[in-house]
Amino acid sequence: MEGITLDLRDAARLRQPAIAAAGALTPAVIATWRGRMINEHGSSHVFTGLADQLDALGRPDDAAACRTFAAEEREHGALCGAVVEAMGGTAQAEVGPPAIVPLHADTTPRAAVIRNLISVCCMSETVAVALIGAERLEMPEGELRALLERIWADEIGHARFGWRFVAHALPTLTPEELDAVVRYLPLAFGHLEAHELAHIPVATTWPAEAAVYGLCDGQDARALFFDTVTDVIIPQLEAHGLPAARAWHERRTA
Amino acid sequence: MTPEIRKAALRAAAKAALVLAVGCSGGSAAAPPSNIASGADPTPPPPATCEAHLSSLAVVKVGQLADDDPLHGRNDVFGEVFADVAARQDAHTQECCAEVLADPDAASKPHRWECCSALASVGTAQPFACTPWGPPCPPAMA
Repeated sequence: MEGITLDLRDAARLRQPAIAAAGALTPAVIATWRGRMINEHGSSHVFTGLADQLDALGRPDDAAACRTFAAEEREHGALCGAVVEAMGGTAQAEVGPPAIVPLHADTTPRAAVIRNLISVCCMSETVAVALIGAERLEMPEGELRALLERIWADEIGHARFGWRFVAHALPTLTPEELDAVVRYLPLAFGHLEAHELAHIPVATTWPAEAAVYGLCDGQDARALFFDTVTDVIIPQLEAHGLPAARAWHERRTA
Repeated sequence: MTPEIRKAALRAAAKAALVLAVGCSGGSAAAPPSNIASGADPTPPPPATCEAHLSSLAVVKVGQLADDDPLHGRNDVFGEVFADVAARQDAHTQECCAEVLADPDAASKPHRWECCSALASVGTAQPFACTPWGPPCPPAMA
């Protein structure tokens, strides 16, 4: 893989929370929060891409919102890096090239944006709200929990933006555009599942005190992921007239 | 995670989703076990790339696992798994799977589900917990 160095050391050191020493869990805490740092920072490129697409659609306010979200994701990257630094690690990593948000040339720009917002906001960010929400509740009061709550609050905003946009835009689509969105759902669900499972390892059982450092239990997190899909995402998409239950059943990754 | 925490987390997600209204897969039939003898010592890594090595391993749907398979009945195993128990635990498989799952783009790579269960099968001490928050780039239609 082409190496690009993500160096958030300076930003992270300005934001370091006070966290109790993690002892034997320290390597796991550093690795976990470094992974989060990479993913959060990488997501800023996704929102920047969405902003460009919304601008092209003549939606400057929505584009501006996505640029704000991109800045929030960069801030989340720095916050996660701050945990890495607080634990004695280095907020630096080799990352891949920035993501390029698909244009979906097989449909109109309007349907393309809705496809992307469903994938990013209605699916991924809604799952993030559940996962971070659970982690937050398992974490005792303190600076790390405050840091987590800040990230959580932003993720709620990102999810809501997508759901709101989709709710308003879907009724304006032509039948052909709507069909293009419907055809996309199995792929979006398959991609979501693959991403979540790849990033929620189940091989390790953590001791009880791991929750203090944000080391969530993989089996619990996977169960919560599936519950979020079946109890929240599918019903909400169905409420907007999209055949989400069928799409989930037919999910695929290519 | 307590049931209360799970419910609260789902409520938060549902609230985020409420706007206006209220409102590892596929695969062939069970493949025969691979040619790695059960119970054998870890074999030296074959002279193959990880992609070639992982692609050479037989896979089976999780629902088709034998009753005595260590992954049978586990609720944390999905999709397809490597059919042969010894192949799952082989050092080269473990190395390759760790490489696959460490890739930031792992979600779009082949073998991810087989690798999740292969690493889980030996209780590999993966030094990280859940890191899926940042939304990935949406997939493109083929």
